[in-house]
Amino acid sequence: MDEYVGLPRNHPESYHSYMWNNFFKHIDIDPNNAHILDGNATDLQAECDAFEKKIKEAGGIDLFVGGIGPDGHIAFNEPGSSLVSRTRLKTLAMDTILANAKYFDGDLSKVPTMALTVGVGTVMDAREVMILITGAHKAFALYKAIEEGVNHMWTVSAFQQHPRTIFVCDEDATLELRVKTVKYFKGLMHVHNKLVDPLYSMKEGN
Amino acid sequence: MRGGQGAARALVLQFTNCRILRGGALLREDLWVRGGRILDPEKLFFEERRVADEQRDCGGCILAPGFIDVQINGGFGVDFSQATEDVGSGVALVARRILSHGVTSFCPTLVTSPPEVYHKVLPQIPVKSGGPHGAGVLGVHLEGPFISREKRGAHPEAHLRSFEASAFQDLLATYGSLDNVRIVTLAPELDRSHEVIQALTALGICVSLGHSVADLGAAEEAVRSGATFITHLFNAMLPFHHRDPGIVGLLTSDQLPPGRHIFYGMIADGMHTNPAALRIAYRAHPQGLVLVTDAVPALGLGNGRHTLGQQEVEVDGLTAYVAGTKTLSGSITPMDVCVRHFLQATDFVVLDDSLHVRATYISGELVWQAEETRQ
Repeated sequence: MDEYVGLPRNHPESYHSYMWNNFFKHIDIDPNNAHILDGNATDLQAECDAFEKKIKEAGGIDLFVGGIGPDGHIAFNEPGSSLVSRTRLKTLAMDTILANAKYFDGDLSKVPTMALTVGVGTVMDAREVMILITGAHKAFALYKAIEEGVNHMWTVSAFQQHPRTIFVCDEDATLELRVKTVKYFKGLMHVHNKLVDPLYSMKEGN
Repeated sequence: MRGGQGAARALVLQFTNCRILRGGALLREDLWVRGGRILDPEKLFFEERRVADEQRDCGGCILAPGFIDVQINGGFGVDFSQATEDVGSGVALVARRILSHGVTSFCPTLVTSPPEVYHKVLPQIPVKSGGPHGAGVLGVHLEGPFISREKRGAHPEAHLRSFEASAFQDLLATYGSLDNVRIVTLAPELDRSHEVIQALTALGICVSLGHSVADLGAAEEAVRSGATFITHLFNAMLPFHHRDPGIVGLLTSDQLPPGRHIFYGMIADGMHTNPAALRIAYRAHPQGLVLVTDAVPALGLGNGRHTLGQQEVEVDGLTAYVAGTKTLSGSITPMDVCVRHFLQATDFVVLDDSLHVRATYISGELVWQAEETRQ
């Protein structure tokens, strides 16, 4: 969904390296089916436009999987991004640079300041979206994303208007939510189990 | 930049389900090989957009770099210091047999011998790449005859030499030709040794200090002249003394040229060095340690008498002595056994693998396999 600008492709912190080490090398995907934005392209905007074109040619995105930043960004759509934006060059917010510093020996001057990223609009076009949110440091962003309104300062809130989005969270990520919200969603699992497996819910003694 | 078109078309091999050595740790990673060279799979994926042509399951084993033995005098009845008509066959036999010890390259070593032996033998041991036929020959290691009388060990006194009138010319006259030579062991306290060390270093030959009574100052000067190695540390040199550490002191010397450090051979057969001494050396200077076998022709054979150059060697159990004496004369311990001894002595935590050699690969090609792993 994104890549730093100006970082060599084989740098251990590039998203090419991240995807190789955490995903591609463990599966048998055809390399021709893996598309990552090139942060070292000579014409960055053309690179972004080409990426949008490839998505269209592939028939659109079936499933978008991502996380959020502590500032509520989706991909590198920093606070203030247009909620109908497409793949483009973005300057990273200070929050993001600070959060990334730990991957660059704690040296702020080594952290990239720009990145290519899919837009909020690009992700909204996906047929299904799954966002993974874990940890207490993401709790406030999660609160802003689902219990407040759609707001370009917390870009992941845009998914309130997506027909098929699922947010997967752990306990710590829910720390800033209302008790009622958390109880409702936890209760859903119980109802879901009853619907899918009558035998199972009989065992539960219901 | 990747290799030429030919290399790009070669088969890509992926060794899976293995642990490899990287950055000083054993990592659960696959090893990729193409055309006999290790490949960067990430680059292959993103730039060439290719996957492996063939996968090999390593059964959870460790994939270690092939062992390199820089001091081995012979084995399986072959004595590299014997001037026979067909030295090549002997070298080839040893090269083939040490594959099962995990050794993929070696330096055939000649002990102190008369000039006629060098003149006859050296031209018959060319540098050669390894393969299914055997381990690669990196070049010859000449241990002697320019060594100390007092610390000659198993080397014959009659054939020791010094640098008399014309230093390097003397050396050249003794050996004949240096074309196939890779390492020379000498004693730096010999007069004019520094000219010789400089001349050898300029030719790209590694100079090693050994069989010597040099003090630390003389040893440091030798390193400044170009010496980079120590032959079997502790053996055949003055013992470590706290006011003059001798050659052993090179491990922690601060008088070496900046950015350079010394390498030292160690025979980890459980006989030549007490494990405590081995640990002291390793803890003082871990990056310089090089395991060697110093194996003699009796390697792989049983007890009894064998030759080593101009000497007779008696093998009794795990030890080899100059016949009729208690002077150690090389070793009969295979390289992989040395590796295991070393691990025991230095107390690594070895994961569920006892470091027994299961298969040996050269340039990505299987050249030896243990019986039980054959299909």
